[in-house]
Amino acid sequence: MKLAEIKINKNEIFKPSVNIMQDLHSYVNYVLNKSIKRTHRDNQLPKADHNRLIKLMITQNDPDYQVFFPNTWLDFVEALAREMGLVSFDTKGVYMGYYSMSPSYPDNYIKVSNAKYMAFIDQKPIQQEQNILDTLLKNSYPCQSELYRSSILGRLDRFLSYGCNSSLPKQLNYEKSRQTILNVLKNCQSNVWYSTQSLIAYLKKNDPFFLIPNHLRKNKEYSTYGSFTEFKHQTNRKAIAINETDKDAFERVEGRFIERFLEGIPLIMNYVELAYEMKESAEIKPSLNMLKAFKVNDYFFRIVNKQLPDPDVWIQPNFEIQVISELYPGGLLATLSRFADMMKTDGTVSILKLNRKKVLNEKLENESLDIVALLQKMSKREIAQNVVTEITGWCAQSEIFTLYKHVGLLETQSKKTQDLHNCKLAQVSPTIQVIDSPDDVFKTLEQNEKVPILIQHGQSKLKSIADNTRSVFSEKNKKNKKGLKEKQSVTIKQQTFITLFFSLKNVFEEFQKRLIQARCPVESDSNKQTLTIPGKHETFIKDIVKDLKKEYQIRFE
Amino acid sequence: MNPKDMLEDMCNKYLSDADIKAIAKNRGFSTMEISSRQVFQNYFLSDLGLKKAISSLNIKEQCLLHFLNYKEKIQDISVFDRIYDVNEPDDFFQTATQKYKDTYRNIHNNMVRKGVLLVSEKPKRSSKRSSKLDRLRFIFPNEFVPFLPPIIDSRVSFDDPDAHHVDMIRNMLVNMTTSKNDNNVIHLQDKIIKVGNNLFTLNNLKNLQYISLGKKVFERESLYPLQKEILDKWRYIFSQLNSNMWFVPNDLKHILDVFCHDHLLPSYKQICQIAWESGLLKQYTHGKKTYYAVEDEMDDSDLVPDGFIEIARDQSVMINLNTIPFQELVHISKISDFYLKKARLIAMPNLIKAGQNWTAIENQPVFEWLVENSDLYKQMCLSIEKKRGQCLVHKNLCVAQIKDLSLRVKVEKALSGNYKLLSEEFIAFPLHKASEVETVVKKSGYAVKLFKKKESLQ
Repeated sequence: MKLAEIKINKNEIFKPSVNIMQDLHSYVNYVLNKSIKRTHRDNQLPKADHNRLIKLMITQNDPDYQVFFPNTWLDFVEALAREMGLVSFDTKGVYMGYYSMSPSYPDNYIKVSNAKYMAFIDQKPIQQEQNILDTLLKNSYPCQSELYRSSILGRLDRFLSYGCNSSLPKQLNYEKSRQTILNVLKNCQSNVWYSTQSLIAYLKKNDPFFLIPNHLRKNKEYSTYGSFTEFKHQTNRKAIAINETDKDAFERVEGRFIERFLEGIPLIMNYVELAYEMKESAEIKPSLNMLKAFKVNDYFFRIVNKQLPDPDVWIQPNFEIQVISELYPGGLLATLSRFADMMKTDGTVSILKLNRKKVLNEKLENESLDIVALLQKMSKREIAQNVVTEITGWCAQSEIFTLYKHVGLLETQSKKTQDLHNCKLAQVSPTIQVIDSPDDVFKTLEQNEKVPILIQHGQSKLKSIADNTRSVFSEKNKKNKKGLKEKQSVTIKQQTFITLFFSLKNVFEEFQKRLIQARCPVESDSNKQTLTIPGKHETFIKDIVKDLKKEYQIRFE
Repeated sequence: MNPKDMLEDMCNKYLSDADIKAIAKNRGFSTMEISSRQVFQNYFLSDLGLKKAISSLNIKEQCLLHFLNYKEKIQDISVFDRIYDVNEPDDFFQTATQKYKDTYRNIHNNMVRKGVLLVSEKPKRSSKRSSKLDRLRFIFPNEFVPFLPPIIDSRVSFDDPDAHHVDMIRNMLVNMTTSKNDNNVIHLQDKIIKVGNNLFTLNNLKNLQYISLGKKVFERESLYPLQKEILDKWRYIFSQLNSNMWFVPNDLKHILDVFCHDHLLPSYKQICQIAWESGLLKQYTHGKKTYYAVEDEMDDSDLVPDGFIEIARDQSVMINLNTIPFQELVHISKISDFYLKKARLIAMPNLIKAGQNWTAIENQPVFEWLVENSDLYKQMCLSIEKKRGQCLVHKNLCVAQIKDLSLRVKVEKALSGNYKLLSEEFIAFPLHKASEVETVVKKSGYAVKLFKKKESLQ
């Protein structure tokens, strides 16, 4: 195969950096344990979740923000997850009433298919990558094809989408067409810039019917290029029809498809780099020959030839776990996240740190799990001895506190009585057992004529047994030597207030003002003309009265 | 709005100074008791002058106080329709103010100003249009209940009346031994005496009498939908009477006018007759008049066990259903199984039942008598005394196993004494403290292992 090689100015190169696999995992992990209800009218993610997810994804990607919009990227990832069956939610909606103009989406919760997601993360990263690629290639909806919808990372415009879901576009096998171009790419040399036009010419010569098969061209029902119209300048007027007899018809339709495919799936999957020759205004719309060249990278060939090594896991003595993998190791990181916190993820290197609480909780969840052995199995190197000792110590701590909720106790001296039931959970002492379903135990003992006593404890206080019954709950110890009950202690706080009743309003106001100036806590009632102050501040009254006596004749009753 | 808020609202906002003075006059408060509204509020619920104030009300008003006491809930002004005539009751287009203007005046003068009622005005809602009279709320405070006069002013007393009783329950009991029909209301089922589907208790027997009364009354007047409400009212009325309060049927007029306002009922004479047939009232004819009084309480009997129990040769107990007080039969049913032998009711001790009801029956004279006279019951009693307290089943609690001493100390501190140490490692505490304990454990850097049932099965 001979495609024309081409020299490229570095400024023309376009190589966005997005990691679709990582974002797919981030999205599913985010919605996994949250019950997210999509918006009623627009069927969108709630604003808060939407913003959080975008923040999460932006930190992971470094795209060209001239053409990349985080909102549309999130929608794209979400649609991919739905297409792969990892999540599900309603997209059809219901018309809520006779006058509804558009469907509504009541109680539309995002559900994660645990089985499918677990199966997905259990796959090797390369298989996961292949799954994503297959899903993207299989998209058969004509209006979402390269001809009618701009790529999420692309710069080129599209044909007008009128009639995209009818006539000839509906009959095309897009998956086959995409696979054909991808097969051509497989035969290219890595890291060599090829002219896009030579690729178009190659396909025109070798596989002219790769997009529109010959039998469809012969079918009189369809006009071969009738669904694709060019326009002059930037207006949608003055349509230029493309006829099959035109010499450059292939370049104008199939050529445009090839250009747009290159900036579609291969670019999203990081298989190619592109070089554009951007003109300020194209003479004909959609643009043609603006994608000057493309280069297939090594990564694509390693994927195709399945030459990617397995992720390298290294547990360091400082409890950090380093995971090196060219592909995002979603499954492996999910497993490691059970024991460790994600510190940093940077393309090929992810760093996690072992977390004591997570190790403990994991051990509590699954007692039989040997965490050290599991980590050793993942790591290619021997785990440092201090890490092994510490993890073993952490695991031992899971046994320190065991809680038995909503249980009962059986207190009896008789071993035979203890054996009468099979609800024992734990033996506390020779005379006390922790039991499940105490009502059943009580009934069993009653039937065996053991005359049991049922003690129902309060929700917030234990019931004490005051009589001479032999029990750990007995309150005998609380009685003093004389056998009298201890007296309950009560605290009574005494406070005296002084209330002054004034016969003159101006004196009342003056008095109140002076008390406030003296920072004395005073309660006043202007209707009754009374002032009430705590008794301990009596000196304030004496001082103020002394002052006021210079102006008024004051008499106390 | 609760009664406490109503009292505060009434004393501080609703009543005018003139109202307070009027209440003080009627209740006999001195100037000290009305020196301030706060002081007045404290004295309002006291018993000071209350008896006099209530006795100054007319019979209908007194009955209404009984009705408010029966209702227990806060009422609006429409409850006074029962005693005061409203303005043109059939005019649906008049306002509440037009309708209740006179009623309000009567309530205010005759009851509020006498200090026997709590009244307050519900706050006005901007969203709802309502007049002041619509928003008035009334309640008869619980503190005044002991001062309510008898619901019937009984002026006759008989030294030793030879009253006619219809002992419906007794007849049913005797009938249980003679006819083996499972449809009998009182019957033997699985060695237990049952009243319908319920156990043989005094409450269930009383209910049976009221159901019988209801059935007879409501069959005549087709008032089934109101049956429960009206029976509850009658239950209240009869509970306010005692067996020495004799009355003629017409004495019920004011009571039923207030309690069963607007309900179509049989005549007073018929009601008394039916209640007598149901065993709720007793009857005595003196001169040309027939008097009624409520029956003596079922547990009110001084008959000794020899009078109704006989010990058989096999030490089982033969019960004389014609004489046994119901209360004693209830006690025996709590410790015995029953069966019929030659139309007699025989009781045999049941250790399980006795164990369940031990605290209720151990000091009952009839139980002591049985233990003394029947070897079987004596044996059962000895067995229970020996076994009881040897086996305790506790439910509704949390147990924690703590293997670290420092952590145990922290948990004990968090529980502040509300726990029991079961052993070196185990501690029991109330359910509501579980989350608090979990927090302490997690803060201390440990994990909480929740015990799951499946682990014990493994």
